[in-house]
Amino acid sequence: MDPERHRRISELFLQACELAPEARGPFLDEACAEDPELRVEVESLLAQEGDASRVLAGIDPGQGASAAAEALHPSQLPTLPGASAERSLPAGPLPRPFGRFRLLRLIGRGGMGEVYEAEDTQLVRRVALKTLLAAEGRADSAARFLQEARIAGTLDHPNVVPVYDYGIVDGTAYYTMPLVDGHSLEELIPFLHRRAQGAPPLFLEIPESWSDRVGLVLDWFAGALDGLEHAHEKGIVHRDVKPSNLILDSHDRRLRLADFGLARAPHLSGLTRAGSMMGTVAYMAPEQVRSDSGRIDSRTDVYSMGVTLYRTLLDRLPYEADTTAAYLNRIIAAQPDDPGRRGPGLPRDLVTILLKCMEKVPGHRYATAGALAADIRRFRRYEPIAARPVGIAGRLARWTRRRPAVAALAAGLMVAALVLGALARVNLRASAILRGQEIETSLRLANYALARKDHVDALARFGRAIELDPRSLDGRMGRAVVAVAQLAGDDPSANPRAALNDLDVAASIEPDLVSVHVLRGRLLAELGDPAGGAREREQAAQLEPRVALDFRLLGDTARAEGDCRAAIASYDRALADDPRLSLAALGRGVCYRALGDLPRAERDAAVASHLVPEDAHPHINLGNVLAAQGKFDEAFREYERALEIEPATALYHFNYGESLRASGDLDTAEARFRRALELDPRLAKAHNNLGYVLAETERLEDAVAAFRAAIAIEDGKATGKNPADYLVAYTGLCDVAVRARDLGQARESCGKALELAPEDPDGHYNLAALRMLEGDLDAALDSLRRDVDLGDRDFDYLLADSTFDPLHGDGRFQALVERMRTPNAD
Amino acid sequence: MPEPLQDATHCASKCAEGDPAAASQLLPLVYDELRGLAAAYMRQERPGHSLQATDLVHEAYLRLVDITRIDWRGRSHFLAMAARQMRRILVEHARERQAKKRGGDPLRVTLSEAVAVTSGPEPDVLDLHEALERLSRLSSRQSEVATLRFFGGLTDKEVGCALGISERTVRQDWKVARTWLARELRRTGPS
Repeated sequence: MDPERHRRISELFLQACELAPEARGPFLDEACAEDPELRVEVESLLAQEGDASRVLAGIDPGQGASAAAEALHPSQLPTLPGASAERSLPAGPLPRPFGRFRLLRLIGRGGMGEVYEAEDTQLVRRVALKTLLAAEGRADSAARFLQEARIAGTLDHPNVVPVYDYGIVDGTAYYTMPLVDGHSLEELIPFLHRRAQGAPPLFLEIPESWSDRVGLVLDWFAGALDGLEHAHEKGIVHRDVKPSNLILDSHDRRLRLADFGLARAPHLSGLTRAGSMMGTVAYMAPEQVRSDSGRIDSRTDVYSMGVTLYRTLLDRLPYEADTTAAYLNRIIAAQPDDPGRRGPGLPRDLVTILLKCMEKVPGHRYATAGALAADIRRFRRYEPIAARPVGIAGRLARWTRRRPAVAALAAGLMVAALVLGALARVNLRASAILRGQEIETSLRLANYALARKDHVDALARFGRAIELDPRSLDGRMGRAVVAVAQLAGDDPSANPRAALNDLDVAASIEPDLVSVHVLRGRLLAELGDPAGGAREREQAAQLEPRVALDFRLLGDTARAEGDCRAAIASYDRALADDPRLSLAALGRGVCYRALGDLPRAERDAAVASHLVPEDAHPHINLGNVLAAQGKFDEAFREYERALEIEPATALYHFNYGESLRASGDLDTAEARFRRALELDPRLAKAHNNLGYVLAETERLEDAVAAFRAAIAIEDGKATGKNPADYLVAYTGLCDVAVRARDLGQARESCGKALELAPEDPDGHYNLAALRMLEGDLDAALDSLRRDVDLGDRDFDYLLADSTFDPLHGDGRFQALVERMRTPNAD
Repeated sequence: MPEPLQDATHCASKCAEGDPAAASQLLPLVYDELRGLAAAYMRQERPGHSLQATDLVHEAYLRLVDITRIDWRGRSHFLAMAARQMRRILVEHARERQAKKRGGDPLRVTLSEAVAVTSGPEPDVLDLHEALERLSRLSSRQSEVATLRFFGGLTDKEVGCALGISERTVRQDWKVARTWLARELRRTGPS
């Protein structure tokens, strides 16, 4: 599954939701005509949607849901080609004769053959009869099959389902086994985890307590491993250990290993089709996945037993993957999911046992099934297990590292205690194994002291832990936390320099701990080194796995506060971490445009609209930045796209209209502003800019009404009045009044505008025009000078403005125009 | 001069008197405060009580406004950050708790709207967290929307403001996310 596909599924799901239930089928028929899997995905979501009511009514959702919604329990993990059910034996009606047997009932069908309940008419007993599928019935397959049967027939162990006899009937190879009255582990797992429907099999008493259930499972497995060890001693590798091949016998309640159908003695490996992968995917060992047949031995079965035990105890598989291919990849490359991650949890030693079984390298696993059985029995007797593998500390460290980093330690004491707890977990595990109880006890008491703010006691106990183990991560981190807490409380006995040393040691033990950097940052800041503090904070942030989002939020905050440079810095960090973070690109683009860096703004807006084409915002912003560069046609296309996505957003029509106005298309601009006002009559900006269009087309009275409407809207707001909207409205009114020669109106509105923005050149320009109307040419020149001082360089406009015609002969006026012609006078 | 073009961000409110430097202080403050509140809750935890994640997030907001005297105009941003930190704290705590095997029931956490998604009891925090992680690999935005709603109880409008997307997009993302998560939680959940 990839994001693009998920996007498509989301889209179809949302569209289908809009339709009546009976219309959804035809819609999906068409939309997914060439992609039936897509349809399955969408339907599984749709099935979920209507599910709530059924669950509330007490009906199990799994039963009624479509086949698509099912299919995902680990037991349903897809198997590789070869398990196809189509290649069945040409079957007559049952019962039917088969040599000296009568086939009574089809029990199961697997990748290699079919299993029947049959009657042996000579010996008058019921047997399980396994055939080799016809399509596989080539000479080498049959020969191999019979070899297997012969070898399996040599097995004699109470935990192994034996082979009675074997042969060929009408070209079909077969062998027979006793019919075991019982259930496979696959069937029992749901009962063990209390998620099965109905009552458990009568013979099975499932203990109430979780630990008793674990004990029961372990006893079963110890027995089955004895059987496996027996096979291994005879040189037989099962190769297909999995829950469905382990049968709990209802009579003696032994777990019996069945179906050595894939088993091969090593010296027969020549008969195996080269490179074929025939195991069941989920339980395959890495060497099987690689088809590394030279390395397949008893330790391969140990691996599969480990996975089977993992699944039985935890009701899930050790890896998570959407597809078979992905799962295979995990088997080779990924660490098993931490068994302690969720669910009822497992004792540490049991986790150790599981991990040793599932080591990637066969040499790191238990060498034999017997060794594994022995360790399980030791565990059951509460004795120390033999698996004290070199790898365990490393593994724990690996799991620890995969946890979201413990970040941002606080000075608050409870906070510190919590964090320490999290850190302590790792080391408490290791120290319990390696260095006895005392360190653990010291650390626990130290944390307790820290929690009740007894800094002296906490320091002493952390110190004791360090004394026992100078490389105690918890001890070192703990002392540093105490120091930070003391500094926060202005405790003069705080020793930040010693704490810094502790942190150095901690960093040498476990590099890349966010907490180390956060604590060091605080200490440095306290010691008067703010730069060092900032540096450490930065390092902490860089270690934080989800740093991108945090920085994006910081960027948004800075932008909202009007600090665009700080915002850009934050967005930079966010994008460096995750270049696909569309919202950071969007925000940075807005900042660049605000700072006038249009090329960068355009690039960011384009990136954002590429990343989230279904979102309207990037199109709007891209349109804005294109329009600001005079690329109107491109801009209009972006606005159109945005309006396709969100046709009813007034602000988008406003932007479109304003760009149209800037391009000189006043008629269309006016229509856009009016559309915006239909959608949101209180959008003051749209009133204002409509006013400008009206003024430019000489409809002065309508323009005045538009500006007045904007002012009324702002006046009506209890909070959040927008000074910019007022300013534009009053400036517009002033301009219109001057043109209409309405001196009273002009004095009032020009005055208001200058009051709002004393530094706005437009206000002074308008005031100059007003002075001209009043006949005060000197005052007009003063105001014009102020306008030019403030940066107005539009001399064309000034020279074309007939209001100032009387000044054209004035040397002072000519000097001002000269200044305006000089670029960048300021 | 007419009004300039308006970029689409939904959060354009400028904070006139706000201290821009406050922003850089934001994350640690939020985290500290939430951890403190969560710890205080856990200290006095009683059987049968359930930690109200959303309440903690909003309480942290009120306290920080009070303590720091920062004018948090970016309320939505604050709540969004807090919601994410809340998620992290709860996940850390749940893992820690499992590792310690203290016995007893797992910490009960009430998440905004989570019940509506699963139509059953509150989902396990870790299950939900992992499902959200998986979703984020397919659509980080959908996953974010769900996180903000679950752990911070943000409204459509606040989510839109915090993520810089329209309310309509929020509603659609939420619809897909909640359905997708419901399906995931069914698939992986023990019951």
